[in-house]
Amino acid sequence: MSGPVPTTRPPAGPPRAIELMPAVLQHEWDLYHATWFTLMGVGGGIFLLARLLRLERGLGVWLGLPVVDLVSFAVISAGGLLLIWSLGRPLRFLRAVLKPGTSWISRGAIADFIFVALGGALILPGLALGGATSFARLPWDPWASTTLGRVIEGVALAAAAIVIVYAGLVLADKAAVTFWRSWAIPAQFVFSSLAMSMATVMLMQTLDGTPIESLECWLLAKFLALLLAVIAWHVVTRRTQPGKAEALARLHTVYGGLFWGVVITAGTVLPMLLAVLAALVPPTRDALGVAALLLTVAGGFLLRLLTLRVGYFPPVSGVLRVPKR
Amino acid sequence: MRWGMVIDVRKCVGCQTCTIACHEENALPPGIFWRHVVDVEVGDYPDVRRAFLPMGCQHCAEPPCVPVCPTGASQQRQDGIVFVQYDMCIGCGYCAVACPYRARHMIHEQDWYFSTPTPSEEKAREPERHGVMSKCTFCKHRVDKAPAGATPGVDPEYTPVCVSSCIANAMHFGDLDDPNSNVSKLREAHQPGVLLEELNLKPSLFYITE
Amino acid sequence: MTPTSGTRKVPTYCYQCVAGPDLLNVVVEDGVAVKVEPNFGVTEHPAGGRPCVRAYSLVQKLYNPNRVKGPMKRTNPRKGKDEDPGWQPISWDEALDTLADKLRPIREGGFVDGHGYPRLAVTFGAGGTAPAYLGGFPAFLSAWGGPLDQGIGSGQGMKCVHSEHLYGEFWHRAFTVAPDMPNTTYVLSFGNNGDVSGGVIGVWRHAEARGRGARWIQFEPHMSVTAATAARWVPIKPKTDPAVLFAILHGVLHEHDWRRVCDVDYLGRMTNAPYLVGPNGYYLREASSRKPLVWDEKRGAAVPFDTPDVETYALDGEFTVDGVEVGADEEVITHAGAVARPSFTVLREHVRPYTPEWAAHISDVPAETIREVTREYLEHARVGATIDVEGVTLPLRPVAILLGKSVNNGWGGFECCWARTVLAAMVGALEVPGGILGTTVRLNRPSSNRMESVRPGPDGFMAQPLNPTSKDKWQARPTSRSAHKTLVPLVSDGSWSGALSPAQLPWLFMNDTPPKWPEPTPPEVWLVGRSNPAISCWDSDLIISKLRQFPFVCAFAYTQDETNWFADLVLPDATDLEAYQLFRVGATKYIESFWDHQGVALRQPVADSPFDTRDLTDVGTELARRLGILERYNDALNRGVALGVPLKGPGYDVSLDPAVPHTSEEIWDRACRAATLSLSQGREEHDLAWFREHGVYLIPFSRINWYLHPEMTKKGLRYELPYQEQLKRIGQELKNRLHEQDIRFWDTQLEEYAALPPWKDFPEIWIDVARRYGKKPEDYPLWLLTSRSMQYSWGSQVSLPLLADVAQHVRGHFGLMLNNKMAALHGIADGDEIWVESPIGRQQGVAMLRAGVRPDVVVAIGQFAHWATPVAEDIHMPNLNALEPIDLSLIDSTGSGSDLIRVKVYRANGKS
Repeated sequence: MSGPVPTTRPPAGPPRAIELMPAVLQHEWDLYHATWFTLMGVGGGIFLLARLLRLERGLGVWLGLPVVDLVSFAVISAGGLLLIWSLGRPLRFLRAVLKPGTSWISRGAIADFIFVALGGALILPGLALGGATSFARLPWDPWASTTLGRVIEGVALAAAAIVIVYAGLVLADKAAVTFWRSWAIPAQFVFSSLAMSMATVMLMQTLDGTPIESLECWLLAKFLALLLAVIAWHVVTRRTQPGKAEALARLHTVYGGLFWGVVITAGTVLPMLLAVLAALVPPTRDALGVAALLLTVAGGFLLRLLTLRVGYFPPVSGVLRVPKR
Repeated sequence: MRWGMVIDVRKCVGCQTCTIACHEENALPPGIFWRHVVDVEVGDYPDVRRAFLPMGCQHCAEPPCVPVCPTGASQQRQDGIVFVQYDMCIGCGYCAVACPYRARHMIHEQDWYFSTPTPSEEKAREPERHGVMSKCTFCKHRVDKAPAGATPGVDPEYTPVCVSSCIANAMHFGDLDDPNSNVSKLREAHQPGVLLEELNLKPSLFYITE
Repeated sequence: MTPTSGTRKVPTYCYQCVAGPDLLNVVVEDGVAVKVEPNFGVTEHPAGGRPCVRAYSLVQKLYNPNRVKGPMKRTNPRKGKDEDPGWQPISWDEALDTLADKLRPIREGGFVDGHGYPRLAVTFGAGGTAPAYLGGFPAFLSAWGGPLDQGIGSGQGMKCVHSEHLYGEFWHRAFTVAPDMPNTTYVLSFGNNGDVSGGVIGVWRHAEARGRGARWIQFEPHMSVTAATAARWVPIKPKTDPAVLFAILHGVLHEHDWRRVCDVDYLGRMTNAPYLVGPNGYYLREASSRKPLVWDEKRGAAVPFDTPDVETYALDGEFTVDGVEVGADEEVITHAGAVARPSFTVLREHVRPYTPEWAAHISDVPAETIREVTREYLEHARVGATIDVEGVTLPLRPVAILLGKSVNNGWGGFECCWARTVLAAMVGALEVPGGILGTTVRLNRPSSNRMESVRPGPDGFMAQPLNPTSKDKWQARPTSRSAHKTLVPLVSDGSWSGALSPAQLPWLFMNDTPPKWPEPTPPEVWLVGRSNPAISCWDSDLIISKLRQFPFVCAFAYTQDETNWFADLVLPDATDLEAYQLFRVGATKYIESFWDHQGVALRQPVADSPFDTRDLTDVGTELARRLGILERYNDALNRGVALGVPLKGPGYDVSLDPAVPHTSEEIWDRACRAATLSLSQGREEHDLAWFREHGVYLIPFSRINWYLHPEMTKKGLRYELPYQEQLKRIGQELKNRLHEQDIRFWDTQLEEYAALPPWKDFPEIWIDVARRYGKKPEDYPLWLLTSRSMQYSWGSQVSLPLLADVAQHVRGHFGLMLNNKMAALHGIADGDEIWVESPIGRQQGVAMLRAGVRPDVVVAIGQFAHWATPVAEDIHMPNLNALEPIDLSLIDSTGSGSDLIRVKVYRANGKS
């Protein structure tokens, strides 16, 4: 460039807020959190779906206890341990329950404890150790065939439902990250969790020799279809919103392959199609159930991880005049 | 009473004296800055504006970081100071992702500038801040020591160190609810704006830019 | 040594840059220094007792585990960048014995070598901050007893605001030039980055001025911090500042009615504007008295300049006058009826071609802008206004033109300094409230009192301690490797002259000596401290190649660095918080350190030293004892060398016993007592213990003494402006002297000696560098500039990770700043690894794209590219110095150069 350049002049017109600091990525929550989000969602979903679909009897018993519930507790406990491990002060984890009035982490922590406590209490009467059934005298059974049992199961189911949804609500409720501030986030996490859980239950049925019903396949397909719809809505709407625009750009560029290849195609569309196929062709259900689990878990985990990794704080705006010629 | 600041961006030169003074006063580990000055540049050549914005916790009147805290460690005092009760914090990070001003910093692990701590790092270390969230405290440990007759924001001993160290005299601290305070008078004279006004968090830091 | 329990606040000073000293407290808990705080107790400090960002790193600087922890000697005889010195720790006794053994033969066998150069050379860099940290060591140098060479260059002196140093002192006792910021309302700044380099007082005052509506217009090729805070940024092309300044001068003299806008009375009485200039360009003088003549309009006749009752001096016109011109070497040219013009008229003619349109074409500054700032300058000058200063009525002229590095040094530096000072004189804004002020003196004496350095000299001007150029007195054979007495009349021959000489010449001439010039020999012993020429001087490869040849280098070391890598002995000196010194504060000092008080401040050990370091005062004492010059050394201390105050004065005597060695504590205790007795004129005496508690002792300093104007009027003196008759003459004489010796390499430099400097194509000088190295100029289309980092400048702090952590918040740390659109054209994205290449080499860095940089400019902040300094060696930043050659074509007549070079940039492989 050569020649004199026009020099700056005092501006005309009132000042307006402009972007002063660009959007920046959050770096608090990453792999650990994506993992426990996934585990919590799967664990809660397993219990929820098995019980609501009345499949818990057909998924095996061990030491008198329904295997599906044990798997649920184990997965949720693994998630919980990982959550605790991810804390800066893990040994203080019990304090997380102190603020349910305002904090979704508190609500979720309470739900976690209630679920494990009541879910454990629910199945406890079935425990048979070396022939002894010490807790059989309790006025309920693992199958919730009594009123009290049904109440306990109901509360545990409600807790499980919160366990599935609260991670998404933590992100959506008050985080400053614009990409997360949408009902679509907890909705995605719920549908993804239900899909992964459904596939897990199907796998357990296969292992137990119980036939997979077509309802389950259709449910799996529907969960995935709803997931796809919510994801689509989320990435298509308010694309220019500060913070969300940067998130979408990063999602499509840096993580384009993982997002489109794994989350959408392999993790959602493909298992959805496999679920439809399984619904229509019963002999394929066992194999396709296994495949669906692997695919939905891969997709579900990456959905959560990428959601965290494109979490941009919005640009900071303020009033600053830029002189114009 | 509500503590707040008025920052004169016209005066700030981005020297980071407040940054380092805060860092040293609060014995912060490497990479953790409760106060830092952002070097902003907007526009296209040659119509460019470069300015320096002292950033940090805005001690919002409606702080999003307080309700999200699951333990109640993130608190706000009557005088508006938002702070972390370190021994209650579990280090979950929620308040950090709730803050649009990026003002919260988790001190993940004990870190030194060299491979082992220097005598001053060893002396000044604060183990209770390891593994918990940290942020600007408006130097409440200095403000609260003001005896009767002393005014934080006027008497430098009882003023946040970022303000009392500023070599451009660009930062002012005082009671926003007192119409005769230094900050109130500056607000009246200059009508300073806030950052991210659209979020309605009612920050206590006001920036004079014109 | 220091208390080890409880919490103490220990006062000390910071002089890590020349804008200080500033005051601070170090908080010490149970014997451990933990943090730095302002010293609010000293309300006399113009910036509220606050130090700047770098002072807060002093605690880390003290405890830095990468420090040199004790004396070490080299065991590997081979010196090279890739040769590990093989440091072996030794005791202080062995170290000092070794050094004394090297120095003794010099004292005993003759101070100068066969080529006439001192066998001992010393380089203490950091632009004059070293004296605040050398303790009593300068007394050892004073006691040395023979010449020593201070002209082996580093990053100071010829690389500093050099033209301003020399011409500033020459014209108005202004070693550096500052605006009277408390009163200034309008500043035109050509590259002066005062919000980074102005020190805490500068920053404080600029900010306060902005707050009250003062306007600062920044002409600079990139948007520095100061351009950012300015009312207006004008992106000027590098090295074209003289053109704009000349055009502003043209505007004042041709586009405005000079009779109305100039301070005609000031010009007539306080400058050489009315001095008549004869046909050969020298003053026309009265034949009998040799006094320059002026035209008295009332008398209608030419009279000597000092004729008492002249009411109106003619500034314009042509007059027929009898008289003589005295040219070079006393050549007298007699005139009868010669046509003579006042130098003001000659000036007007000289600037007639320099129109704003002409300047716009050269500088990229629109003519309209030049006219606007000219008009604003004249409006703000308020010619005729006055102000009361402590009961004295002085002119008020609240306008200042400031220059920055690379504008006030190197080619074009003289022209800029001249034009700026002339513009001040035009409106009477020189050395008056609101205008431009000198700060201190370093070439004139006494350095502690600028006013006393104003002494009457010939022709109505101040006496100047110039190096002689006459046939009988010119120093034909250089006495220093930088040849300051031989080549640079303006730099005089004082204790600072070596450092201000063409100190890059030794490096250049050690490589390639011009014909008829005695080859600079490597000094037998080179003491270097607080200086890292291998990083801070141009042409790093050349420096390193010569360093290898130095037979014995003793470095006072903070950490391992790129220069002491070539040392034979490293001695870790006590740093800022570990030793005693009493230092002057207040009055008027460099940059913008103008106080309403003056006094002394103490530097003291705040805590026990963590390593085996030594107070340099003790080192000086020990060396003096070993060399048998203890008495001379103590005498020097008693005279006040290094202490800043004689230990014996009117009404007091706290002298040291010359016969015995004294500890640092004893010496500084005497200095404390002498200083307070002297300052209080005998009313108060405070010892070291008092200073350890209070830190500083101050008395009022009259603000009248900020301004040279009252002293000049009191002594009836004029400023030697605008016409440089003396420079013209001494330039011709120097040319005669050099040509008599058949020395021609300095011929281009000699052209700079002009009574009124013309514009030259300064940018072309740098564009031409490529051709000199066999390359094509069009292959190097960009200007590489540097800019100051307040977080990093001076202070030996580049090894402190705390400062890296802090500095990263400021643009430019750590990469190369380039214009975003220009970068896109080159396929360079933000964060890309790029090469920046000059005709002599290339360095790699990370691209940082900006809108606030001219498209033809690249900016590398500070000076990095370390390879030996801990922590710094991990900072991935190019260093302009490594890419700029030491070349005679880039050295001006005073010996200075500029930090800029033409380069190209291109992507390295892969992204960072």
